Amino acid sequence: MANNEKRDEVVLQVLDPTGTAVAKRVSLAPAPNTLEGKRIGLIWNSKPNGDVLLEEVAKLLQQRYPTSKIVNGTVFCCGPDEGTLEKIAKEVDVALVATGD
Amino acid sequence: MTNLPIWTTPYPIHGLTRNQLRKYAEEGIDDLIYKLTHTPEAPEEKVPKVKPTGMIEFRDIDYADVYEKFNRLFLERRWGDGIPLVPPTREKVDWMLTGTDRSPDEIIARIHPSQRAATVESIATNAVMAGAIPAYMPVIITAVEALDDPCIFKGCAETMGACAPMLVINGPIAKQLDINSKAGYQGPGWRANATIGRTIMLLWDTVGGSIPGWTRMNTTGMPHLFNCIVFAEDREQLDRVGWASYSEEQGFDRETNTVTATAAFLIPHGVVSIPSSVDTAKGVLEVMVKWATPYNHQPGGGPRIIQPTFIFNEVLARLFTKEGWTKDDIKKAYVKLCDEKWSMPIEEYHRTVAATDVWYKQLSEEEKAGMRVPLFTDNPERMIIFMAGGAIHLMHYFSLRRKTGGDWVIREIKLPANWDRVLAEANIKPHPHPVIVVGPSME
Repeated sequence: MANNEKRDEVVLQVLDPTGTAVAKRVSLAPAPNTLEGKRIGLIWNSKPNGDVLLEEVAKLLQQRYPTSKIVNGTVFCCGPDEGTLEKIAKEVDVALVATGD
Repeated sequence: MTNLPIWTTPYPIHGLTRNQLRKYAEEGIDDLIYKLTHTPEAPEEKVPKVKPTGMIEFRDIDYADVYEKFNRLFLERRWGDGIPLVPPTREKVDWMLTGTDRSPDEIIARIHPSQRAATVESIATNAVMAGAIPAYMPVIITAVEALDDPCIFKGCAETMGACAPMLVINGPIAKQLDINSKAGYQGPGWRANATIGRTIMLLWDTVGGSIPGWTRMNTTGMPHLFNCIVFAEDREQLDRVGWASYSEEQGFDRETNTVTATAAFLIPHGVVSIPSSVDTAKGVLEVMVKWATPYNHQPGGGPRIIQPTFIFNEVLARLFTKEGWTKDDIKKAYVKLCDEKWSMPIEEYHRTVAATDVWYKQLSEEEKAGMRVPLFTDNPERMIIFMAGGAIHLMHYFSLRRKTGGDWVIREIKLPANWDRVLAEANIKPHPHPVIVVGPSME
């Protein structure tokens, strides 16, 4: 803290507490221009009714895109670890991930 | 933050019927399909790869006004817990950094939910804000490292549940820093307990960007989110009872300083009152087991999910040791009794304690027929007993859930080379505790 040239002004300088931002660049995979013939993965986070909503969405997608495939016809369970995510990424073309409550 | 496409529905979806959810799906399906089939534009690169620590300036005619402006801005930006902060000036942060010999630029952890990097300097900055002193830095840095362990539940900073970190300190550093381990160990009055924990929570607010209602979705919040639960195991009580500390059970010797950390759903936690008429090991166990009713445990997640942690004091410990019980004997008996008492029929489990359990939904009807669900761990090693608190017929109980906050991590505290000097300059005057007079029942 220091006095500046104005006699009756006090200056307080503090550090930004959020620290340095080390940005990790993550880019999205390009989206397909249609869901025809695509494998659609469903990832449920175990929260109430998330699985039911995903199932209803999946039914509508399959009606609209009869050649699409819901991978395994089931939802993947909550909190997949990195290995599971890599596996899912190989088995699907797009994924719907339920998040929140 | 990436430009990940997000599709939302009205909130909540809990409690709705399938037909209602189908309606949400039908109303939103076009939007969802658009988002699945169009790559969003890359967001504008607003933040350079490494940003030098910025300084924020406040001016006014006197220090009181400048201090008020600082607090208002920081609290408006959610860089705080609502309680006025200590300004992290360059001088104060440099002072705080004298408590460690690690490089200020060293990245210690990434803090959820933002996953921004917590460097030694940003930890020191938040430690200043919390009101800590340099001598606490080795404990704080070790705690940040421990809480970054892969088995620690990172969702603690984001969840809707009641979740907070807990830190337990062992070794000579506990006394050196006057970390309370006796009466009132979870409450106010000790700078170390208060500000070590507050630093962790401020890191979550500032570096982590954990904002109540926005990115930290705690339904109720809890008082422990001000400064965690931070205490030391009481060496004197352990020695009088003849028990090893938790850190010694993990293979560390008593002269090694350690932090044991978890970030757990504290559902439930509270004081277990042992009636004064109870004076046998069996009697105490009976109360402990009855207290562990799963109906207040939220044990959804499948069998063996509940892992109990107790904090004994020597009065209660002696009710066991006078009959020749060891800590291991207590754990084995407790775990067995909870298994016998608190297993429940699966339909009752589904109806009362785990209505939306993923594990339950994956069971076939054949598997479910006649099944009883054991809720408590059957492994005595997953039960933890710490020693702390005042000398009375009360103990504290925490229930941790395996998979989400059910793990404790213990790390050795590395001291700086000039630790003796750091401690000397800290000039810590411990708060006195009343001397306990040992009576016949405690011999």
